[in-house]
Amino acid sequence: MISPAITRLIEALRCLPGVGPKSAQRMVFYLLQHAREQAKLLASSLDYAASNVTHCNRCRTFSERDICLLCNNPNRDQSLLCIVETPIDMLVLEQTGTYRGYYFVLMGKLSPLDGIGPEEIGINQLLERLEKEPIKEVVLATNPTVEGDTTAHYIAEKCKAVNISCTRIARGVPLGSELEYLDSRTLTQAFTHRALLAEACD
Amino acid sequence: MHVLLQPAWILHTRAYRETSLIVDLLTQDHGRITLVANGVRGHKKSSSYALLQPFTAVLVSWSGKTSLYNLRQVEAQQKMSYTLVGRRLISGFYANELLMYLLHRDDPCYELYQRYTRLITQLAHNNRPYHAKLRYFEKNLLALLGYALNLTCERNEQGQMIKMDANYSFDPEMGFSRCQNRVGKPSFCGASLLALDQEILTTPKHLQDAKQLLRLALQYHLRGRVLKSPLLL
Ligand SMILES: [Zn+2]
Repeated sequence: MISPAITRLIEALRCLPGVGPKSAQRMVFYLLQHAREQAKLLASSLDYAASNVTHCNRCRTFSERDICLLCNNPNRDQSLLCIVETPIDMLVLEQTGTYRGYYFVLMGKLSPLDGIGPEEIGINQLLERLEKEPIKEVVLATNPTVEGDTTAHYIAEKCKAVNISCTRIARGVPLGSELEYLDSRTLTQAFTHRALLAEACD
Repeated sequence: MHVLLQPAWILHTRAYRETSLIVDLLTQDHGRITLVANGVRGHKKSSSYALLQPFTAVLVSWSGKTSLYNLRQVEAQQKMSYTLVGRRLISGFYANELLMYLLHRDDPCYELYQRYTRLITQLAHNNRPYHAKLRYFEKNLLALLGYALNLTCERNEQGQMIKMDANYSFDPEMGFSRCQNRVGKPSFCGASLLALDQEILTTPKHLQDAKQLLRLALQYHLRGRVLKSPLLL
């Protein structure tokens, strides 16, 4: 390669998921040829975010302030706390606009076989919040995997110990899908967690 | 090597590269094996992804020469769709931790597969008691690994028969010896040892003795590795 700077940039871009050598090369030449200004903006934004974004002290999501914007918003429902595995989960829930409470981000899930226990997912911090804040309901939105279930069970037990009610987002058949093509586990779960139609129509 | 539709349980999976999984399974005829499942994760999740979860009974086909095989096909075993919940789920993880750390790969053990199947079935039925079953699983696992506990004789067969009303201390290498309830060292009632041997644990005392004993024996073979699932109970 003629330019060590370009080689280095191509290598650096390959840390992104889904970016192989070919696409990294294409990105680099595009930026240099057609988008110098945007390239500089990209570089400075990346640099700023990588050095300044840490975790919110309250909900543990990514934030460059001690307390993130969402936790700082006084107009949300203080009695609700939703627990998610990752900041992306929190983001997609926010985008639905259905939830008005606060969040706690585990930054992972309990996984005994990967050596991830309660400490690694910030349980102590969560317990502290349950104790100090006027939370009435904890909504568990962990993923429907066995590790997600284990995490949900563990947190539910902790909530029970301090008399806070605990709910879990429903699971089952995805909208627009067909039963014929569902795996048997999803189908079993959907059946186990079936809901009264009258209740659903209220 | 090419194996077709082998009955197996998923023990553990972890992400591998961008769209793949490394899957550990307990198979009926090939022992614990490790497979790579290519292209099952990510946006274009394949339908096999939902099956590649711990505690799923599957029929699995694989090929390859090394000890890291390639997954060819996976489907659910019929009428074996179980869901473990709560403490039973954590007990399931405990069993999986034991198998992951104590079993060598590619070492066939048909009996272990049968015993594991029975354990998971028991754990999946919320109205069935499972603590005793978990103890028998631990005891038989040790035996199948070649570390059988001799629960009927003192000092691994050199001594006297274990008596119902005597107390014994346990050493993982030496076996059981009579003791006078010394302070600081765990001791086990002879009746508990015999009940574990016969697989008729019923009283809380027997269950508690068996649990403590098996924990000591397993700890010895785990060589200092600390299991995470008991921390969740
Ligand atoms: Zn926050």
